[in-house]
Amino acid sequence: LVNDDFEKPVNALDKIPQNNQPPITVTHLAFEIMIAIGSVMMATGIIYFIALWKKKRWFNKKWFLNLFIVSTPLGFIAVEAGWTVTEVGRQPWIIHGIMRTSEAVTPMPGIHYSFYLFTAVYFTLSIAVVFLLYRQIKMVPQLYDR
Amino acid sequence: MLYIVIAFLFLAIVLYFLLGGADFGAGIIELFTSETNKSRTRKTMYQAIGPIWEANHMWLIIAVVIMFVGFPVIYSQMCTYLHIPMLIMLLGITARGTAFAFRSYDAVKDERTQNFYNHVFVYSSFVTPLFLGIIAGSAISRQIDPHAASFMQAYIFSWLNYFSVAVGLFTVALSGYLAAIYLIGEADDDNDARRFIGKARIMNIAAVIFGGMVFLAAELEDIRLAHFIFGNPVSLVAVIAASISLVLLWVMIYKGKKRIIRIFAGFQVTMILLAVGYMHFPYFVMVKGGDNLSLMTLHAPPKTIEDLGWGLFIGSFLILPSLFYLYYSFQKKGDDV
Repeated sequence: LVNDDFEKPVNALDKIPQNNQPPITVTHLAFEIMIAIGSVMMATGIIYFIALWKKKRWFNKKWFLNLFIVSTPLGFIAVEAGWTVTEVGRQPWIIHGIMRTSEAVTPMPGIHYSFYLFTAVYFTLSIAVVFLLYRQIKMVPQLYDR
Repeated sequence: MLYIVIAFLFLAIVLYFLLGGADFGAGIIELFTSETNKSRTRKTMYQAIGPIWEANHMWLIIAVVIMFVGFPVIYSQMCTYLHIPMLIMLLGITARGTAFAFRSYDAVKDERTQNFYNHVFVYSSFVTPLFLGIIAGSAISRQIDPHAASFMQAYIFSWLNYFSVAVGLFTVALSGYLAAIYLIGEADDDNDARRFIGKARIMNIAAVIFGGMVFLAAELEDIRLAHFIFGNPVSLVAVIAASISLVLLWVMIYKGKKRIIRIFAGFQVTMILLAVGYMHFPYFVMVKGGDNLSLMTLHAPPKTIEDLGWGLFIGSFLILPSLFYLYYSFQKKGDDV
């Protein structure tokens, strides 16, 4: 698969020297989270179609509606988990086999402050999104239900 | 092929200054509008830039990608020594975009949050072009010092100097000027149009003052800007052409021609960039000690440049027509209402 060839074996971690291995626990857990959420979402989709064809009365059931509320953030979490797999899993390389991440860092001292700054920016934006969505939902009766 | 890539790079930079600059300028105009007229200005401005404001940042992205793919050494040098102003500019773009979007899409339009969005929008509209100009100024200021001994020398004074800051202020004034000229044609009535003409005049005067400061700062810091600009024929012609079109522009304004003046204003800014770009070519970044970074030598391997050139060439066939259509359809919609 990696080599565009179904016959050729894919190198496992035991073939990769210790110092070129990515952090295994994080990659592994993130991958499992992604797969688990993917399966749950697939199951949710199937349940929806079952309801659509055979069990119309489920549409008024509380557990059924709650299922979709719970599913809302799952897609985002799966995407983030998958992203974690690729980004952590590629370490220690920034360009595989050519350049290490440690060699690619901007040489300016104090670069970690940039990191804190951007973390804060993302955090603020996340808060803002939650705040705005909350307001949006709160306004639904006035904006759409008239 | 290298020349095609360089041509696209300059095109992207010029268009970013023109379109993105006018975009920032709208916020600057709002910042310097009196409280009573603010909401009217905001309305015109929102109609004018609302649908296209995100498209303008495409040019910055194209310029960055060309630098990143085609001239990685120059790119990494700039990102290292100008890390801080680039960071601030990036934050400015982010804050501006989010405030602009939130202000129109927030479900609850209460005064307090709207005010907050307005504040974030106008101040980031000022800060972003300021730092864009500072970065541009630093690139030609010869203050970037690869052999600097201290943090301050290497990462602060590379951009915090009279020349770079003067270029930054000049950029702010030019942005405001472009936006005011653009808004004259968008105004709903004569009263608004007169107000924007007033703004254009103030911004024009500011641009002349800050432009003078750029030359003054250049003298102070021993950057032979005047010598270079007036020493080569292309830059000299560009500067003269810009000056003539400035006079024509004000004649046109008083004759009530509201659309054609945009072309003149755009032409002036293009000429200024041409004058500065040409006098340094092939150098893109001027470095202390004279190891200037040249576009002709520090490019990626020929194969990369070739692919990049083709990519840009083919891409422009897809992007340019759709972009023109975007501006056209928007302009048409503006005429109907």
